[in-house]
Amino acid sequence: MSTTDTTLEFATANSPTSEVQPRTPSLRGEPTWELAERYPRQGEWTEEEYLALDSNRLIEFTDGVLEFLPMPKPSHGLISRFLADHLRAHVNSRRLGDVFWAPISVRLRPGIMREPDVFFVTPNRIVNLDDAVDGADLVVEIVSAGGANRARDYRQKRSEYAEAGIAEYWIVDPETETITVLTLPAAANEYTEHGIFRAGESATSVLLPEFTVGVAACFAAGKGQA
Amino acid sequence: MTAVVTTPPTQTFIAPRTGSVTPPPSRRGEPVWELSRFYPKQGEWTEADYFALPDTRFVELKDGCLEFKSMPRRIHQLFARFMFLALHNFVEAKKLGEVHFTGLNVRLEAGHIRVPDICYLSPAKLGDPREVQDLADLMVEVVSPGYEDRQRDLVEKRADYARTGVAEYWIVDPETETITVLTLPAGANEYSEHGVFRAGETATSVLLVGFNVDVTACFAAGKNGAQ
Repeated sequence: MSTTDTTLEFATANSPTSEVQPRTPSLRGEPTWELAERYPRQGEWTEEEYLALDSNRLIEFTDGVLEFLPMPKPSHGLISRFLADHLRAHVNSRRLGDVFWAPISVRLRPGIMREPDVFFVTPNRIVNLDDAVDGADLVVEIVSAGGANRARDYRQKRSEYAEAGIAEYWIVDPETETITVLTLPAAANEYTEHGIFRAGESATSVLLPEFTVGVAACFAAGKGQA
Repeated sequence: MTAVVTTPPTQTFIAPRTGSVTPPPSRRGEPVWELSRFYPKQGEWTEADYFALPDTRFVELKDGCLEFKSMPRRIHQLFARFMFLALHNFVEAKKLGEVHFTGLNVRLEAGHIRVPDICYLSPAKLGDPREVQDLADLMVEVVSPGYEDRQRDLVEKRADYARTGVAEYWIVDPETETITVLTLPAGANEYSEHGVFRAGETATSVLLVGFNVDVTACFAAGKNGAQ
């Protein structure tokens, strides 16, 4: 934006940042900002309100605040489908439980909901199919490009999933073409690294001993080379 | 001499009026602006989108844009209720049709839906009650405070109602304590002023001969509530 733009205005002195803010009434061509004002404000959302949101977007929930994740790219979707297919085949043939994928919500604890790309749950976790799933046993995140997204999957979610007692966390990174498998030792609340698997290797699970994923095939799937 | 140090105000870009705003992620305490992206942009709303909204009582649709009426205060409802009861009693007694209170969607033309405070429908306008109401014979708006609302009621709706053939438009204005009665001459598409009625006067209708409202009593109803 040009600094000589005549629409430049000054906010009150205590405005927190110098970023663009929506203004109402919204004008032709703009999002209909007023509709946002009909929902709770950030910090005031309840779990019920969050779960009642009718959207296919990826939205996560932390103590009354909604967080909007980036819209996944097709390459992301292909990797997600590849992993979900493999995991489902493994789990279904052995009747170990269920596999879900985003945007199904996992409740890490009351007040925190996440929408992992793919996750596996043992049958005892599914109490009510109309509610979020309480916890998970294995969670897969496919890392989206950008520093904030990488930090979310590698740091924030690593600690959140460990604290929630999720036994295994797979971080699938198209940028480095690696699959990091983290496992939760008994009674621990931090993950230890089972392995960082690269092209030419097969990623293995501790939780599901016979489950393996060919790393090269996984990232080839993301390039449409299934 | 002491140097006077002034801190410049934090420079903020209020949404530039270009239609290409990407605000930062909403923060605790702010509206969740991102949710607006789940809905059509201004200019792209269809009737189907509009009627899919969970609540249209204070939302109107024109030229693909939503317009938001102010949420009414009790005083606004007291004025509106006074006008509704007067009009309703008159129309009921003479069996001239129906009078509706706040909340009825009235389609002025395709893609143009208004939600008048009060409207009167003559028998000829009464179609299938399950469908959206097409047009009305008389509309009443109680003007809410604020530039947007005044502009809409006094200027835009005056032009729109006339153009789409609403025979009579009553503007009840608590700010000026006047009731303006506008009527549509045969074949015209602009209103002519039947009268601007003030305290001590009686507002009258051209369409509903014999219907009149004591202006003083109308505005007293808002100030005094149920007394």
